Amino acid sequence: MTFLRLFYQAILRDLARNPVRTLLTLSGVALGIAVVVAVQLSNDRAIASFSDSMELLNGQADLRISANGRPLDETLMGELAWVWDVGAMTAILEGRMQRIVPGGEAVFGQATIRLFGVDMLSEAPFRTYSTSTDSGGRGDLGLDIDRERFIDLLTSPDALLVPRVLAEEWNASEGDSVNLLAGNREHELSVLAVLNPSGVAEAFDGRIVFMDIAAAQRVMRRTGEIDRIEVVLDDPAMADAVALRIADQLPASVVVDSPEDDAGDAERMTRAFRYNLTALSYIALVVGMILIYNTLNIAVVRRHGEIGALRTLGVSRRAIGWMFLAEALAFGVVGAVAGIWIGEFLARAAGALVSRTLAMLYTGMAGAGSGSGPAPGLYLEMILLGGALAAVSGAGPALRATGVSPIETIRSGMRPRASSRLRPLAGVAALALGAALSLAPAVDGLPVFGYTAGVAFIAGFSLLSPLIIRALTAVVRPVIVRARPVEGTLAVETIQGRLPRVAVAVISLSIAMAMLASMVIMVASFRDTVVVWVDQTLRGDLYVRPAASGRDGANAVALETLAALDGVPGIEEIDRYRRVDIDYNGFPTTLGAGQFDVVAARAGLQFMDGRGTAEVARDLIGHDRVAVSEPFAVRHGLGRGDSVALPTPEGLRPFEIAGVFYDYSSDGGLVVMDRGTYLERFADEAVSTVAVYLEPGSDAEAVRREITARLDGVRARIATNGELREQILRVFDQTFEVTYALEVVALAVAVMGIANMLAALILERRRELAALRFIGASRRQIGRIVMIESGLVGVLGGVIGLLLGGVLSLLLVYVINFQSFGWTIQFTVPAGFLAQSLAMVLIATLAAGLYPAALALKLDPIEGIRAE
Amino acid sequence: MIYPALIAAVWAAQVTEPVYLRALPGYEYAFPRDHGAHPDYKLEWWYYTGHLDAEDGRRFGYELTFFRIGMDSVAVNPSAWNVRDLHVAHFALSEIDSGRFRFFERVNREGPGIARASVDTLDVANGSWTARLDDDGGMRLRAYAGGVLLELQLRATKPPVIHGVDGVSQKADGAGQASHYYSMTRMSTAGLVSIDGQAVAVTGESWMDHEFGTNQLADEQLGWDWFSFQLDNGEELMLYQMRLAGGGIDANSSGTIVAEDGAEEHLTSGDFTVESLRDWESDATGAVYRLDWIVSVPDLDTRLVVTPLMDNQEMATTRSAGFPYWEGAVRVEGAWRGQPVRGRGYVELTGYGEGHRPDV
Repeated sequence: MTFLRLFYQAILRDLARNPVRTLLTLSGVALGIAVVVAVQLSNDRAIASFSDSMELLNGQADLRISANGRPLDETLMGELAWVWDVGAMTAILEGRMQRIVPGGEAVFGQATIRLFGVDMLSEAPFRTYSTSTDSGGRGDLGLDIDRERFIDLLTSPDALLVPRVLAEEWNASEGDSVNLLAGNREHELSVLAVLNPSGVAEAFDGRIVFMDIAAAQRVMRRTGEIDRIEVVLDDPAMADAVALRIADQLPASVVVDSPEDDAGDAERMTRAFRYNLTALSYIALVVGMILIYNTLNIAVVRRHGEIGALRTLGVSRRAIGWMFLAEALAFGVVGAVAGIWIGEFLARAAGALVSRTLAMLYTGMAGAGSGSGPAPGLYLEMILLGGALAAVSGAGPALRATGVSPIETIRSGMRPRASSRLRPLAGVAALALGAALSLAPAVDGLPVFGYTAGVAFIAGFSLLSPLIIRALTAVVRPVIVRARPVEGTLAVETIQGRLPRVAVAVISLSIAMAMLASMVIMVASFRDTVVVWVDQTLRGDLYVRPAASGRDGANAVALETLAALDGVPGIEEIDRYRRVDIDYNGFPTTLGAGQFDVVAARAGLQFMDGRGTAEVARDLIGHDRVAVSEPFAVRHGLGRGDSVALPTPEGLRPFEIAGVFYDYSSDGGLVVMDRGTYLERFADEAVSTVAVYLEPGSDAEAVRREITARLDGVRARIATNGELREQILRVFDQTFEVTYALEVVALAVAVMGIANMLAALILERRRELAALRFIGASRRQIGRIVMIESGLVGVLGGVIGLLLGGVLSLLLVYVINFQSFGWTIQFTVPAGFLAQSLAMVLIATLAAGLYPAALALKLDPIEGIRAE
Repeated sequence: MIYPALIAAVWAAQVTEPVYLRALPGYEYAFPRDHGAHPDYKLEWWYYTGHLDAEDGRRFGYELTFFRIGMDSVAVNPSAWNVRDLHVAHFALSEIDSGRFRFFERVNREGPGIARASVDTLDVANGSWTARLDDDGGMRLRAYAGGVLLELQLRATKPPVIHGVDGVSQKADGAGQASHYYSMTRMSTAGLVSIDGQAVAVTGESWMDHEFGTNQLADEQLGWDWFSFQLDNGEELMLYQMRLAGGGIDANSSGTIVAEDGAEEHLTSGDFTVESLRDWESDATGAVYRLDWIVSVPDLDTRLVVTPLMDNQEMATTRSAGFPYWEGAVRVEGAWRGQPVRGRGYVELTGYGEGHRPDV
């Protein structure tokens, strides 16, 4: 008998005869792979979409001149006239806008639209634009519209170029006017041309509009300012030399770099977030692996006799082993292929979530990025991964199959294995290893040892689970037996009698449950921490910002708005806060400046050394000192008394760290100083947000109405404390949507495993159950036995899962999260939510029992007994 | 007199009475102020052409031109980027010995120091290309593009020559269908030309045109042929012919003779004839130009044979122009007031080829 024929007859036919179990196992593996694929694709696409967008926007530029988050003085263009000798030069002004109905307000959560202001006359060497209505333009100015409209674009103060997707979303065509909020004002702008989805019009999924830089300066009220200068060199090899000469000529605060760094920035910023997500996705895969192990194990045990028969027929041990290994591989590979397809499908849904989360947290960019399908490499990678993991999971059962001796044709059931006595010891060792690993520091900003510790804890619990199950079953046995003396006893004894096999199902369920529980605990702890932090930090009664502003804070509150705040009855004090994005050691960092005399008396920053804000404020005011957030301190390994060099207009200047405070607003890091220091060192009087403190007893709504009434033609967004708090928590909750979605998939995989395991158990006990029926058990009783068994597995898995989850949540909160993001989180256990999760798992396992129960009910007692 | 390559729509859009001044008789010139820009007029250009002899014996022709084109834009926007004028510049070098012609162009707005045209004196720039008046009255030109560097100092040997009648150079029938137009007809030139890093000292003679006006070309006019000659007897001649759609020459065509002492003599269209002898088809644009000319001024017993130093001197501009034109170095040989004469010059041909009519 050739191996292939053997494989066909002994394995494939058997798989075909048990289609439901085969399908359950396959779906489990496929779903596991699918989650990994989905996360990988969503991560990749979110990053690719950001870096592609930056690449499209940067166009052909070889060099970029900017002022580290602050605007650049446009007259530098004249000082750099010599650059025209070596290439072409252009200026860029960026902004954010929001589409509104005339007179309307921007909706919270509505994505902002980028405004890209360019010198349309100089665009040709940098970027090209193609319009929907090709009206015979020559394209020689980088834009293929006719000259009349090109001149309109240059000279009209309100002309927009709009990518087609956006025009369609707005239901606007050429010549229509659209109302947009930009900074502190509402503008009625006109769509001069609709851009085809090619080149720059594809950046940020088309959520971008283009204007000539003159019009952009007017709309953004940023006359005299640009954000950067770009250079295309005739000879790109000269980039370094030219960059050096430019840097030499300009003030030290000006940065000359290459646009290629952008993608790296996005990569670096979001690395910890993406790695955590990837690590999580592998949990689903682990559950899938256990499923393969489970299925094969059952097959080997169930077909003990058959294997023995094959051996007597002369099939070698080796062939038997390979046969089962091949089965595992088949599951792995077929599951992987199916998983890629499902994963691609999931990625479309999850992609939006991941991308939105990354956008909220890091890139400020909306849109999922349509992206291409899975790369061919991914198929190979996943098939190899699926195959490798399947081989690992199948190795045990295959080895066991080789152990079946030819004479053993009659005996059935599991023989106790010698190694099982060593298991508890191995389990304890794994837990000890996990504990030791959790103490290890991060590797290159990633909690590598933390992840490994998680794996060790899971392994430890898995190895110890037969012990725990035995103990727990002994505890619950009297309860079940009292409730249902006959069915209960039979069910509990089935579990106890087939412990090793049941244990596998329980383990897979408990791992899924543990992941869910640990995430629930971590997120709840995090959320509680954030709530407390918000309570302590956000003490203003009203917060005033420009009507539309991006994350970058480049948009400042209008002077008119600041003036309107003067003398409003009920206002006691205001704190003008400025935030700008800077680059610190290659990491995007927020530089903030607040009025610490006000902050000290009102808002309480929580300093890690326990000092009060007032005390630290005294150190800050009037000195070149800063306070830094915990993530900043952790990431850069800095603490109180250390010095940070910040890019002031006069060049890098050292500031002493006066304190480190808890902050959860961004893992990029926050450096704050007193507004007085900021004004002196950074010469920037702009205000990003105003916190308004009211006199006791005044009505926030009334004050808001009064401020709004005083804004004449200027638009501001005024949020009450409650509204801002709600926004912060909403952003927080949205952040973890992806995480929960992943957990639910892992749980679904585990539940499938339970159905699979129980079905196997039923089939194996076909004769036993038939005998029960024969001696008078009712169909209802048989069904009840099966349901009690499922419920018991659910309870066991749930409880062990909670235990393991508790351990993992500590790991997540104190090791993984801290090492990834630098956040100290106060540990809380959301008991209610966990109880709900447990109940949900129970319901799910009971539902999983329905199929095997139905299978048991269908058994014909006569048929079953005939075999005996 | 040279017309720039312009953007048609500026004129097409101009349905109301122009807000710009028109070139009308009685204009009083004052230098160096009039070397500077005249932004009240829609169109303006500073045109430098010249012949250069290199130390190593090579010969070059060059053209460096700055245009300022008013955009009819109402300044509601305080931004420095507001496009009041478009600044266009052309730069060409004819390598006579190798026959290689290179040309470059720039289209910019004034912006925060990208291009400029001072209203006080000669100080025009587009990117890194500049033309400036020195303190000692000389002019300094500089342009670099595509490996070609031109750095010249020009010293006028004659005062500015004002063309036309009563300060107005008429281009078509009707008041204001004209420009204010003067030339520096002979400027001794020294400096250097550098090609791909190989610099060579050059000397030679340049010609400068500066012209400003608002509404010049009439509907029935196709384009023009323009000639400038520097003769070895110390005199110069400028002629232009406005070509009409049905063939024939507009009666507003005219010219100027500049005597050795700088005295000028106006020629009307009846005073001269230009005969062109052969076709030359441009590979780049497909336009068929007429090259090789015989210029006659019968009353002055003058007959000049004009031959291009090389055929391909076409400014096949794509970005700014919307129409290509031929602008080339020529040599002149013949009889001047009955005496044998030789000389050098530049010729400009516009409006040749389908859709190549300059809309000025």
